[in-house]
Amino acid sequence: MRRRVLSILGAAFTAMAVVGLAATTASAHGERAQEGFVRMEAVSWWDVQFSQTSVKQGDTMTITGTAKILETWPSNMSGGSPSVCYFTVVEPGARFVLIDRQINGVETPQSNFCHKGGVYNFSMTLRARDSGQWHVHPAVAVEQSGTLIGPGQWVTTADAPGGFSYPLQLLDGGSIDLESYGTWLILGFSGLTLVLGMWWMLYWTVPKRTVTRLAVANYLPLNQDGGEAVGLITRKDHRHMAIITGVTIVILGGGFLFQALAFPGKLPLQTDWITPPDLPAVTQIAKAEATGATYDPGTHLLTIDAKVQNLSKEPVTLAAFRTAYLAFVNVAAGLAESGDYIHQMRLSTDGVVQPGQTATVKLMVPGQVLEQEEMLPVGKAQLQVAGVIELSDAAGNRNFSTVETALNPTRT
Amino acid sequence: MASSVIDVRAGELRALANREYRYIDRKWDLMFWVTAAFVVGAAANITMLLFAGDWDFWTDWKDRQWWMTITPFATIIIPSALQYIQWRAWRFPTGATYTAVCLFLCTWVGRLIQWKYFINMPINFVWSATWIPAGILMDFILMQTRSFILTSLVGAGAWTIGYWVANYIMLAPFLQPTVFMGHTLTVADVQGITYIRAQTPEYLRVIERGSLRTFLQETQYVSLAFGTTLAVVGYWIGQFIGRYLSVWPIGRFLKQV
Repeated sequence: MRRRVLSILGAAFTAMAVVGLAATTASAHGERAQEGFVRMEAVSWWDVQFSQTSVKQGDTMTITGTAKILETWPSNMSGGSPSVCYFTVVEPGARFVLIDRQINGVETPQSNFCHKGGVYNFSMTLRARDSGQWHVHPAVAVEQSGTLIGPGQWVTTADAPGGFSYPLQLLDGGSIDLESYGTWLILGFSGLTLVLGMWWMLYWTVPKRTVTRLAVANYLPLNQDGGEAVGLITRKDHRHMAIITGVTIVILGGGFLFQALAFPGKLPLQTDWITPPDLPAVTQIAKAEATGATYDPGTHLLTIDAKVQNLSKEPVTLAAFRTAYLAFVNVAAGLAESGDYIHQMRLSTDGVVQPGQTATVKLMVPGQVLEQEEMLPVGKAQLQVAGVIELSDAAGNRNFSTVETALNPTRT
Repeated sequence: MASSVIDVRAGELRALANREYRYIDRKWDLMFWVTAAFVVGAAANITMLLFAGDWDFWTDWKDRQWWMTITPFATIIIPSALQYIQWRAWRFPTGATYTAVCLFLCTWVGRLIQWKYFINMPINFVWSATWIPAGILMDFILMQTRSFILTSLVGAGAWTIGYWVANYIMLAPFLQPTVFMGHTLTVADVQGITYIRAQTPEYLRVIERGSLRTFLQETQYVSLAFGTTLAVVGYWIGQFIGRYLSVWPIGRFLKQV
């Protein structure tokens, strides 16, 4: 029996050790776990660029791009009206540190106020901290909703000879390394308190018996210890505990005095939320709306019917359909985008709408991509598709029309 | 009356205390203290995580208003239960210190393995607080007063103040100002921004953000006073656990046996 128990325990520990040692780094970030229609309706991303895909420890890399909080934001998230956002990066652990963040050209160290329909140009500069290959995404967290991620990129970080350090200058002019600052005070003081605690515990448990005291304690009223006569707690015990308590109080007092003298001019934690400025108004050249969508599981084709109205005096091209972190581009529009999240779509026309005209265009989006990203809402609580349709002209003007329409699958 | 009973039976009780048992030797004591350490550490840790996890995880959550209001309440419950159990069973004034030591070791193992080894967060950002000085003060008060009512009133205050002072000493370097992204922030704020926590966005911090309801702008001391009051409540929740969910069922079981 004993051998069997030991065998089971040994096997369990071995299994845990193997699982622990064999654990590999996560490279997906749970984006597919979020409802597809929620991702489609909430935020669209475009022009996301990583300045580097290969860096050394200590090198910097900047992620830039645009995120729009869509007018189709789900009514059941943030009460249907997002108001506080936090642009961040999703990565497997602290492999990069964030050293700069600008939203619409303004430094934004913490959260920013945001709203439905808001368009935010972001720039986040990271410094590589750990060597390895890491999957990195820009993301925007929205209060009372959660984090919605943008298109990601694999980034390789190589070791640097000196490792990683994080110099930071204090307001009083002193310089610290944020990686290790204060660590010895934390370890030293924590260790000191552990010594006091062990002193207290060992005093009671090593020279004195434990379990057998129950027989005596059972006879004593709760507010009595029996004193010297019974011998459970003696005058010597009181004296010894007074010494430990005294030492504790002296250490606390001394430590408090030390921090007051060593670190004057402390501040409370800061809340520094900003309202980013609106981007300059864009020339409206066209607008689009979606009038319906079908999905055929047999051909894996999502077809969106769109009505595009050209409001300008130049031809306008339907350049792309962007939904969440995916983009489906009209090859004929000649967009110079590439990456894991860029795919092609076909149109029922050449996608060009002449000045003053309104055209009906069918967008034929490859369903395999949407299925792989678990973004098709077939079988879900809301049969809707949403995103932005990008319209552009030869002068470089770009308009992004938010669209949403009901989805009718040919079968479920 | 109670004292006279003790006076009369003191000799008997003393003999009982010093009695040698054939089958109950020190290895039972060792087994108890070591195995209980895991249970007590886990119970204290779970209670803390349930009510005040983030305040303990990050330097940039350790604020003036909420940290000291919530954490003493969250962390006094299990020490109070253990104080009752260990005092009731053995007249050991060790329950709070024992819990504090177990919790300290338990959380540090977690910080080093999960936070440092697995995801490489710097330890000066995710260090564990220490409850040990607070535990010593509270056990000393129980030992001196031999009263759970007085310990709840005075000891809860000692727990709160002891906890704050001990950890404020370690927090102080991180409350120094620095200029980051053109804004004056504390070093702790910078840690929270720069070491990316993907699923803990900055706005989630429950920290002092300003209010018209302040008392002469003395946020810190009002929080300590309120935290002490809540700790008294937490102490009696712990007493309930110790008395009616631990000792009473065990006693009932033993009587049946």
